[in-house]
Amino acid sequence: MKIIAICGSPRKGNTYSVLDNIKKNFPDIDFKILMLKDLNFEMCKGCYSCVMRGEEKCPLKDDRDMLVKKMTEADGVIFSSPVHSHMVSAFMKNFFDRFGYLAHRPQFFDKYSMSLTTGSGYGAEFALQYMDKMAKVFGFEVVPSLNLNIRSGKQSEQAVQKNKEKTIATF
Amino acid sequence: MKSTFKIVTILGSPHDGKSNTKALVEDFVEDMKNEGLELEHEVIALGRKKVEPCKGCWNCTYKRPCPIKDDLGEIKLKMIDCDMLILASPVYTNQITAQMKAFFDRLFTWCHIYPLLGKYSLSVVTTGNDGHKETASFLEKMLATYGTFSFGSITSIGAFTPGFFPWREHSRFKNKKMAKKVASTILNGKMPARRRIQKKIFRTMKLKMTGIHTVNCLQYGNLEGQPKPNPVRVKLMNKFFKKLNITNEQLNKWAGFLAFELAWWRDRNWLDSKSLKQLMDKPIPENFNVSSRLLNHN
Repeated sequence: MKIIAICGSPRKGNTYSVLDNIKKNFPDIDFKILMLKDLNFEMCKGCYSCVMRGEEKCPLKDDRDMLVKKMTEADGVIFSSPVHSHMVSAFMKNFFDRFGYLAHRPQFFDKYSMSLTTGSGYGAEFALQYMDKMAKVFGFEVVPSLNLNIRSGKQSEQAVQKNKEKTIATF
Repeated sequence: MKSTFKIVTILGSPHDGKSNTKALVEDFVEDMKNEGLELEHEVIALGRKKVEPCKGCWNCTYKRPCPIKDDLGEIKLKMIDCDMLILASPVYTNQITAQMKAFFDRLFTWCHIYPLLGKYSLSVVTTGNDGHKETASFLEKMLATYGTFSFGSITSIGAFTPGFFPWREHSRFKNKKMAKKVASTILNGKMPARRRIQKKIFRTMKLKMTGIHTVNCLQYGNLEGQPKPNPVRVKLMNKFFKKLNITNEQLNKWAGFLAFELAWWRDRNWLDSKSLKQLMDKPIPENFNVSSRLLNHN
């Protein structure tokens, strides 16, 4: 089984460590983590070409095609992001903006997705709601999402252990 | 009442000239002008400025300079100087644009300190056919967190591609009544009605700041002139620390958490206020310079 995790965090912090813990806890799964900050992924220009003329007409030539290819090859996708000002981070928001054409032409009907947020306060439910909604719009079968309320890496390990049953159930 | 009324619009669209959202804002402001309000209007298009996404380094809360150097400083200055803030964004995949989100993320400390307390505000959203309700409610939430008093949101559907906005005249006609109401409220020097979200955000914010104040007092002792932490809360916190086996090192880190915001709340004597109105009534201390603090810490 192949699972790809898209991480919208601007650094290798808590969100990354949670994903890393999932990877360690499920050694038999081919698990890959993609950090959006490391990719060459520019901000959407809002030119509407992808919707009107086709996604290959996008004026920005970057790693988007690679991301689509990886998502199509995988059996499941995890969308993960920290909570920044009541919503997903700007990297994750840009990810959804660049795949705006998928909201009009959904294609991932045979795949599962899970949303994951990490935060230490207010606003996680809004971010989760938004990511679940977008995954549904893209055509994914959405499994129950995971919200972790953590502050340090040490706690994340405990949290994953605590939520292990839930995570197993989701896979 | 000042002679000229300054309005600043933060435009989240990547376009500037062709933007439908800008057209809607400018129509609305012109209608306000026609009602007899003297005003200056400036549109800051985030697509034409350089605002990079937040790196999540937390430097700003620890009073260290921001590692990213770009156009955010001048935008901040304009926001502090204005009398009315308009947040305007088109809908991209059911939410605000990524440019706007990057802008909000960079103003991370502003979410805790009510930097624009008592200013007027308005949110504007345009969309093709869906998602304007979610986006408007998010923008309203951000306006409430910054401490502004919002007149509400103007939304319009039918803004399809850049420059193609067949609903424009219809929306302008629909919003005329609102423009009249806004202009007369400002001319009479009144405030718009208090919203429920403001109350909710005040409650959350106070809980957050008094919590950190409590941890700080537990580690470094009570401060003179500041309210003493709630004894029930201290008891609960000690129980919680024991349960989670939190070490002294972690507690020290926790006490230094949100240092900039805690200093702001302490210096303005806000920690013992019970409502947003009490917070607004408190005078600004003499040695407290709001704009220099907001601009210099990063």
